[in-house]
Amino acid sequence: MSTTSPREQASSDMARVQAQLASQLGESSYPLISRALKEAFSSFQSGESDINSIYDKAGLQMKEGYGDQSMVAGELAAQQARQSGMPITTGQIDARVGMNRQALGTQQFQDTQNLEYQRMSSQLSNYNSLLGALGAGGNQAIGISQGFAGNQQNAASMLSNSNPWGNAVAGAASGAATGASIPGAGWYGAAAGGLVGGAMGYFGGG
Amino acid sequence: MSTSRGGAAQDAMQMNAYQAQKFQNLGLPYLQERNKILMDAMNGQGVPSTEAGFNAQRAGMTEGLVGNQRAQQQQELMRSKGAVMGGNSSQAMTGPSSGIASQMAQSRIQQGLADIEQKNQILQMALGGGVNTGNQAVQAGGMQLNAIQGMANYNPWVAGGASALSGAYGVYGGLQQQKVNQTNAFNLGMANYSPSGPNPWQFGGS
Repeated sequence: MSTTSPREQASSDMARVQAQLASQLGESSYPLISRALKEAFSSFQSGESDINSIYDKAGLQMKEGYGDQSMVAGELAAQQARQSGMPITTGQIDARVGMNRQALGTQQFQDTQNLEYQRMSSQLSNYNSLLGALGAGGNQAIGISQGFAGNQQNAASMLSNSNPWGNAVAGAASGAATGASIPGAGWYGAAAGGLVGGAMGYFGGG
Repeated sequence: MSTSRGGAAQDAMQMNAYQAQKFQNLGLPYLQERNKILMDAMNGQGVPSTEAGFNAQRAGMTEGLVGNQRAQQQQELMRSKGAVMGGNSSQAMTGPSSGIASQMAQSRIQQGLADIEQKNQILQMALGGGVNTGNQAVQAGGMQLNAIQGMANYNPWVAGGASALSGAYGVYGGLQQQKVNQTNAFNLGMANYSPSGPNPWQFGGS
């Protein structure tokens, strides 16, 4: 025969299910936040060199590209001169090649400056993004902690505020008196009553 | 639907418990799986690579440039022939295209930044997802506490045992009292007994 009421039984079942759910969600959440925060911090630390690496490679590629274009500048001018069918002198071709290379140099300088601007902009953007993630993640982890702490406090407020040993002493005294009052029980009755009363006071005191 | 309050509460409890369990069973595995995917993504696993896409972009740029240069050269040739007839030889030769070097570099930068951006996005998703899961864990913990409030704040077995002992002692005390009463009545009868007197144990006797 069950000694619990339907309300108590339902509450007990629900408490068990919610405890399990809270545990499962917590076990899934904590490692993810922990890993993400570590990743954010690590990326923040290496962010400058990561971005620099990208722009250094891009700058190198651009330099090579301009070098290639400068090399073909001469061939291109000569080919165009030939195909034009005009009586163009070598001096005229050289002059044209020089002009082309100067224009390429000017363009390369501008592109390199733009690349540096882009590099700085990317650095700032990445810095802000990761710093924001670190701050938000840290704050939210604290928020979850505070939520659990609030639950913990609420749980503590549901505990009995009496000392179980105090209850045991009171129960033992009451039990001993009852045992002693049984006619013929004498000291044995008092001792047995004290033990039973003490146990009941300890465990039944809430 | 039951017409009694207790029955209606029972129905509501069962319906809500069923739905809660159903949605929990639906959401929890996917949530756990999503968190695992995010964890793997932060470890560099399972994230689509941008390499092939950007390589294709750069190949397209090179081919496009070659095609454009050829078309441009044809146009320049036609124009230079016209210029020759007009006596202007400087227009017979043009410069190489300077755009390709910059475009290739920009493609490299886009690729590098796209990888960093993707990494940061995953990080943000991991933090957001982890925090949501953590907050749900806190909520579940709160629900657990709410459920606990519906439970008795004493140990039912101890309380039952105390009641049983109390009842047993009451019966015992009653029996003892009955014995005392009988003894007292007997003593009283003996005190009043006289062989010539009325029978003290006979009710209404004289």
